[in-house]
Amino acid sequence: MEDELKAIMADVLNIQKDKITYDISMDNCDTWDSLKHMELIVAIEQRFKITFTADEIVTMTNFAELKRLLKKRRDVSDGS
Amino acid sequence: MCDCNIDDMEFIEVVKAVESFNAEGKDMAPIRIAFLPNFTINHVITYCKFLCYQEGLNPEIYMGDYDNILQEVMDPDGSLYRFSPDIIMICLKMENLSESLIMEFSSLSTTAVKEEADRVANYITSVLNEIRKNTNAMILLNNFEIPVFPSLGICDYQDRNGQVNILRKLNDNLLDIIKNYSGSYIVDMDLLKSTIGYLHFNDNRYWHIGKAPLTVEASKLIAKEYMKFIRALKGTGKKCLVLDCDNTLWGGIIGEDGMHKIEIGNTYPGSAYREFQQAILNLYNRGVMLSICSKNNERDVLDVIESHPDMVLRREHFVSIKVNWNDKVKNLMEIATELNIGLDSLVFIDDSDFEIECIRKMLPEIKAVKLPRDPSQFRDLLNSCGLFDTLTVSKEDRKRNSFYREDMQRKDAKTSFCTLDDYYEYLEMEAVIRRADSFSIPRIAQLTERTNQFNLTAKRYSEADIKELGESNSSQVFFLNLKDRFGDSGIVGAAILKHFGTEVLIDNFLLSCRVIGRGIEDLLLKACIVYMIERGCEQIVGVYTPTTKNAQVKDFYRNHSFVYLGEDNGSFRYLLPANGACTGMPGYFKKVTIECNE
Repeated sequence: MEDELKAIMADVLNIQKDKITYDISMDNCDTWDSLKHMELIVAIEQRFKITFTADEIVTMTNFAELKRLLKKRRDVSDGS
Repeated sequence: MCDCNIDDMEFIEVVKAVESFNAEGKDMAPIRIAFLPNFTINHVITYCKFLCYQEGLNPEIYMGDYDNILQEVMDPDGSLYRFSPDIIMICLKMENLSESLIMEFSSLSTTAVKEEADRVANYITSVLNEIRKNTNAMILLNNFEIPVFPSLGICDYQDRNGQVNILRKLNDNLLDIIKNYSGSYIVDMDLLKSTIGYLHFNDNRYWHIGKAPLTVEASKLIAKEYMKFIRALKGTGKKCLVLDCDNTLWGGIIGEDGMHKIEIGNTYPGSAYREFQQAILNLYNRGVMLSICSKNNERDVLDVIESHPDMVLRREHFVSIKVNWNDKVKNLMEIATELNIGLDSLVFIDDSDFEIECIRKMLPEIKAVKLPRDPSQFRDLLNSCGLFDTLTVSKEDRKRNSFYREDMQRKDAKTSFCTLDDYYEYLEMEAVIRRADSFSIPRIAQLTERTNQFNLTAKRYSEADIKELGESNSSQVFFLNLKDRFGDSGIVGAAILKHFGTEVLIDNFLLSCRVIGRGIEDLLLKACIVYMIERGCEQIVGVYTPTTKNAQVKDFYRNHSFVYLGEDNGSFRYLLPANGACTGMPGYFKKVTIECNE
């Protein structure tokens, strides 16, 4: 799952997959602006067939949070 | 650009495709699109770009200042007009235009509601007004989405003054407003919303986070709708629908099941095929030509078309019927040649994967559409494809299929004459050449957009352009209406003239491909020459700009005694002096009326 997330981020943010480090965020990544963030969320929701809340969307502005919330969503949907 | 159907692609694939697309070295027609939104519409633009690239168009996009539309359109020297848009999309969300009509409706008195609605209407009128002062670009105005959870609940929509009906009335009002601005059209957002439903159209999360209320699905739907207008503007709408028969027009295989076992009628699955035929007939009535291309014994298919009681489509609806055991590639090419249209004007529908793939590979210019497995889906597929949409359905469009029959009669008659002149005299052609007026403007604009062969400069004009050129003192637009013993063909030619000092310039000169070869162009040219003489000008200049489709007119001016002046930026200029300009015309016309003046 982490690998797929990195692949999506690489595509949307136009960066190389191996450059995606744990601390990458909207603050330190040039290409990650609010429009790209929208695209990123759409791509993740489409690929993993999940829906985030507005609150999650605004806090998911770094790789760590993205991974954490994605895992949380996935665990919930796998469980049911 | 990949041929993938946008509906089968993930959003991220579309984004990637658009970002990595390189238009360099490709022969793509440019199109300049300006978006003036009062909310965030980025996904719509992404999908628009993708669809444009897929159709061989190279879009340049201008994004207006967020929610600053009136200021922007009022600035004649501003970046919007310097961008020279071909199309301007006005995307308004009522929430940002009149918050009270959406959020506070129940606290407004009837008078206050009326005032707000009027204010919105006036705002839109002002915007359109300012735009038209500065450009003839096509204008696409989104109407307003009707709230699905109305302000006053279940009693809201019982009342004409409820929120739902006030907004419906406002939308209705928009139709009256745009009538005053030629070349402006409504894009029905409320109808689009109904296609997938508010719950799939609207994203409240992003409305609050970024003023971006449209879901990706909504954005895709809107882009597809915009594309229908772009196709109509660019004249790339399709002209002929070619249909397979078995499991397309009826269920089953006629050669095996026979007349009594094929499915077409009022019960399942025949009813689905019947509805599909009704949708096809609808296209016929709009001026789309229909053909059949089927691998069958001809008699078997004709028997069904002629005598099956439940068929909707009959022999007379088809301009060409190719039923044989030959390769469909050959048949489709023959159809295009017979109808004198390009392969890129054909749409081919078949239920067979094999046939569709084959056509896609061998004749990629044809739009090949594979039917889904379930015939109950056929009708919607055809009605939603937007391949045949036009900006107007003119008298000529409605009569196109009967025009074709008349043409067949003309062709048959021709065979009994020894000389062409005798045949032309027999036709008893009557031509009327007049200045463009409000009735003829839509058809003239359509002619400039759709005509490819007898088109001297391939310059395309919108309705607003034609109107402006017709009204100005330094330009004029003529149309030619033709009728003969077989029927009235309507407006089949146009000339756009510009007047500079002592010179008249033929900005464009065109003739419908259906009337080429009868000397009709001589009449239209004569009208241009008369215009030059009456204006007291000394010379008339004709321009030929070569395209991939108009080689047949490269010597047109030369053949009419114009003198070659030289090349200018890829175009070739020819001159005819007023002095000694011959205003003769062929003698076989029964009647020619040229009305150049008021």
